[in-house]
Amino acid sequence: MNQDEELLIRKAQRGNIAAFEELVKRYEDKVMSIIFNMLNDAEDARDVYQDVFMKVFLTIKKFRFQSKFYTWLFRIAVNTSINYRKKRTSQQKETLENYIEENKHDAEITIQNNSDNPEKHLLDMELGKHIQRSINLLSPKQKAVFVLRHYHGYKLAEIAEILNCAEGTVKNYLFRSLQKLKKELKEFRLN
Amino acid sequence: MNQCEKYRQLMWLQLYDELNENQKSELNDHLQGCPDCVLNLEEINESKILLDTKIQLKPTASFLEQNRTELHQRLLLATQHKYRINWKKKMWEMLSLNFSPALRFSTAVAMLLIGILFGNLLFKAEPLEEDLARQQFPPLSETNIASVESIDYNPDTRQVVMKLNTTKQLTVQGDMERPEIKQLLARTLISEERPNIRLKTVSALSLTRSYDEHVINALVEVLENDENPGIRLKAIRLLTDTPVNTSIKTVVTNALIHVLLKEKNSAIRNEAIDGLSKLRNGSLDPIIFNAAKNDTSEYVRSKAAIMLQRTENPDVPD
Repeated sequence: MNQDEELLIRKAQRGNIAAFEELVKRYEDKVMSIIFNMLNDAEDARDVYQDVFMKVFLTIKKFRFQSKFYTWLFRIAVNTSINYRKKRTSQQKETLENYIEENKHDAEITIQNNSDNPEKHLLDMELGKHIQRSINLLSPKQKAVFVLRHYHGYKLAEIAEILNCAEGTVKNYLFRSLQKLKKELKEFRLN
Repeated sequence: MNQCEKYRQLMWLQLYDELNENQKSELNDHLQGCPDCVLNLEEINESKILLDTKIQLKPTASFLEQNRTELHQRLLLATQHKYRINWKKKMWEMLSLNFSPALRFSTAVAMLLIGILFGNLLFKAEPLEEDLARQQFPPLSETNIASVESIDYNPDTRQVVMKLNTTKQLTVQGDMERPEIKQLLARTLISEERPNIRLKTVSALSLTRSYDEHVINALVEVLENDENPGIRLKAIRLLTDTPVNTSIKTVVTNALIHVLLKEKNSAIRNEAIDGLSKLRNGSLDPIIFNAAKNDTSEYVRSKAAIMLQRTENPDVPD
């Protein structure tokens, strides 16, 4: 944590809204991406975004600089998303088309490994849809670990800090999630 | 976890670059001797390639801007609310004395002192007897005494306690020889309507060793005008027992003559004869003679006669 960020946090702890909003600008992109990947819905992400940053603002006084600020912030984002998802399990998006259609105004949706080949594009769309469904079958903690490692590239040690658990536990969550997904993707494998 | 499962985990971790050199080496050693794990590694590699077909959602700038604007409004509201809550919280902390122990102690001491001060001001205690004794008597002319509530005296301590109804009830206590007490008793004797109070007042006066002008005048007044014979009798006994100096001798003599001539009660007239005999004044003989001849009471007449005989012959015993 650099001195500039520490200063902003200390100001925010004294109720300085401008300082807090500067922190929001620095991290909102990453926070929103995590929320998107956890919830797969822009409207839900909007609600959770507000909840996350309001929680951070109201509890920032409790931040004691004993961990990195972003790990503390992401922990709140992950936990808020998990809790939100528990309440909204019945409203998961059914099709990828719907998913893309509903979120296209609020998010840039990219399909990696996509090719110019129309057939391949369709296959990738189908695969993406299947992966998305499979991910939604993971437990909240498994999903959080998978999203943070696979989509956001955080190292297991950082994820352990974000989730406030042991690195070994994170390894297990990741392994279990990958084994489940491997099983779910069986029909797409060549062998 | 069996051996192969452990290595399957390492295979996945290797794909995410989470293995150290020792683990990599250990995994490679295992793969060289385990065809099942080699097969599994192929599946894992293939699955990883499939998983990399990510559908990535990245929020647009406008979406973030909208959210930030909404957040700003909520922060402003929360700040106002927060300050309101803080104000209430601070008040609550004040009321519940949520201070440091030192501050709490000093607050308690300060509150105690304030309590004592207000208590003293609002609920002043009745003065103690010693204080009463030292109490400055209010000048009677300035004290509007409506009535005497009660009077009490102690012959042993020679203290008189009088409860007076003035504009507010007043209790005075003091030695019977104090001029202020005597003055107050004399005033009570004349002005009090209740006979029991007047009787007690005379009794209290009987304990004094000397009488001033106020007391003598009051006793004379009672003797001549009080309707209660018991009080008159006590009053005349006081007057006749009092060592009479020249300044009051005339007043006392006149009062006794008045009694002898006007008093209906023979016991009181009898006391008057005794009183006059103590004065031993030759000019009184005609009056005594008149009583010896004309008093309605035989006892008074005989006593008057004896008194005349003594005047003529001082050697006759009492």
